[in-house]
Amino acid sequence: MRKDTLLFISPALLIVLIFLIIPIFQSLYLSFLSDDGQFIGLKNYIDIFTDTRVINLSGFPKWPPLGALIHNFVWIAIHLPLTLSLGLFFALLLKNIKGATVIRTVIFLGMVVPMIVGGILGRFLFSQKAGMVSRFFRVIGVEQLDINWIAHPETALFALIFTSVWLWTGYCLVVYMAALTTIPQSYYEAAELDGAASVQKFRYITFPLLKPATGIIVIMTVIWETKLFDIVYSSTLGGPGRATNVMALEMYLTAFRYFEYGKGTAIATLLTMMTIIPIIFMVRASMKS
Amino acid sequence: MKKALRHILAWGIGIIWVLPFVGIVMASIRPETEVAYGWWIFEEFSPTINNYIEVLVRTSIPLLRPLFNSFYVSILGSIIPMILGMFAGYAFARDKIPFKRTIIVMLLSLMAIPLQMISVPIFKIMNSLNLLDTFTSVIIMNTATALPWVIFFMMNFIKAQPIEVEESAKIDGASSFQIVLHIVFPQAIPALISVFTLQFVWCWVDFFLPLIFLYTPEKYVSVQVIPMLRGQFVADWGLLSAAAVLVTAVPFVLFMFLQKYYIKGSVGWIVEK
Repeated sequence: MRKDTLLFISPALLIVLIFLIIPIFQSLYLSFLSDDGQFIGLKNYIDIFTDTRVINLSGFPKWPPLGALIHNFVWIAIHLPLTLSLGLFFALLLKNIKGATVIRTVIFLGMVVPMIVGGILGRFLFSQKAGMVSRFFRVIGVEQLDINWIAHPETALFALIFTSVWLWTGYCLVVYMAALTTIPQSYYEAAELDGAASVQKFRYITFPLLKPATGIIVIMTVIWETKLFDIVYSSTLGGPGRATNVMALEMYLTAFRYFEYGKGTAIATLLTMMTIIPIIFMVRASMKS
Repeated sequence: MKKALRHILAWGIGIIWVLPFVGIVMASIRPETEVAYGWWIFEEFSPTINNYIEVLVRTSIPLLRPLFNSFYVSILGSIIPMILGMFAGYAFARDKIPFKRTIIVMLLSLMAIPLQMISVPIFKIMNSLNLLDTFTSVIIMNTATALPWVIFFMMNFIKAQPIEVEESAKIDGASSFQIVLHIVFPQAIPALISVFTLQFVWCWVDFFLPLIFLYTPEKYVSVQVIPMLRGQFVADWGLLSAAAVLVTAVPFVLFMFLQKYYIKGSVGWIVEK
């Protein structure tokens, strides 16, 4: 390797090595130790899976609290399909609409809102008297939901999930919009000549050609969701009664508030495992280009 | 007819989508009594900037200094990876590097690792380097997490540029450094703006790193202060929303001016209209 090349890549790669790569392995090693440094193998992991803070399946199915791990999965199960469909729906709806740029910008803004503020917005939106969502449900007659969503264990998690949907849809819209521009207009014109209706055009042209974009969105969304922390921290800190606890928050509390480093790093490792499958797909997709 | 329907639907959605933002602004400029039952009630409307003044200078943790701290951390946390990433990206794009593919795969994989995974070890590392409670620790970590995607992003961008200009410069005897400075850098400005926009926003909104590395109030960054303004049971929505507006305003403004670059950064320069 030429001297110049080495010089160009060394600072960057050294920083990555010292502050990213080595810490990952250090964490992994720590997760096999007890709090006083004894090697205890997988005990931390077993403790985690039996901890009701992580998985609480007694009397399942019921409302939260269900444990941090389950909450993460519930979050993905609701958030991913919603943002995906909303992003696609808006990308299609806002084609050739007057003033679409303004509407799109409003939806995009969600991408740059700090998630800490997202938590505050969530609390505000779903509060009983001052919040729009609660007022909406009162107006349409669903009195049970005219409450302070954040204060009730059954609804707190969903308040946060919907807030995150509102914030994340912007990203899906951006990706789908970009992807839509890559579909040649001539395909649609040829289909129209054959007498295709809008629905058919969508089903046989648009949807299949958007598969790569959909793939990217799914991967990025799942990765983003495993990292959810700020929005929960600033709105509920995992409460009420751990009904909004998520794995990233549980890791922080375990390691930095309860000082259980072994268990904390084990939770972090599990969290990273959750991102392994999306990462594999992402790397494969990126390497193709 | 269908067109009109689409317009109504689109604008309807646009209005619904923007309402939470309107709500929070309303809560920040109107007295608490006016918005306690819904900011959409306009019987009384007496806007005031009192909440902003209060939250910037008068509360127990004034927001003014943290806003500057956020700027400092975000600017350095963007420029450093930009420079290091551009040089490394150039080397990955143009030079032979042993195990290049493996390194790239590794860099890509690193992008998805949650910060929590490395939090305990980096805390210990920063502690042993005496960098706890310093901006340096946050800036270093922002740089470290940025480099994988910046290198990959710059590498792809540079690869797409015609190599002839660089080659003729090499024949004329230019060093790699000169080539990067005088040819690659000017060409790469759009990509660098994308990197800056994304990374600045990322640093600005990041909460976890300041949470574990910054402890003295003079060093708090703006996002860090917001949860501290929230009481356990009682929330002063006026203060909270004013703080929220201020902290969100900076990435908003950046986004409004550099929207094109932010979006290209998110989806790549490969997709051209």
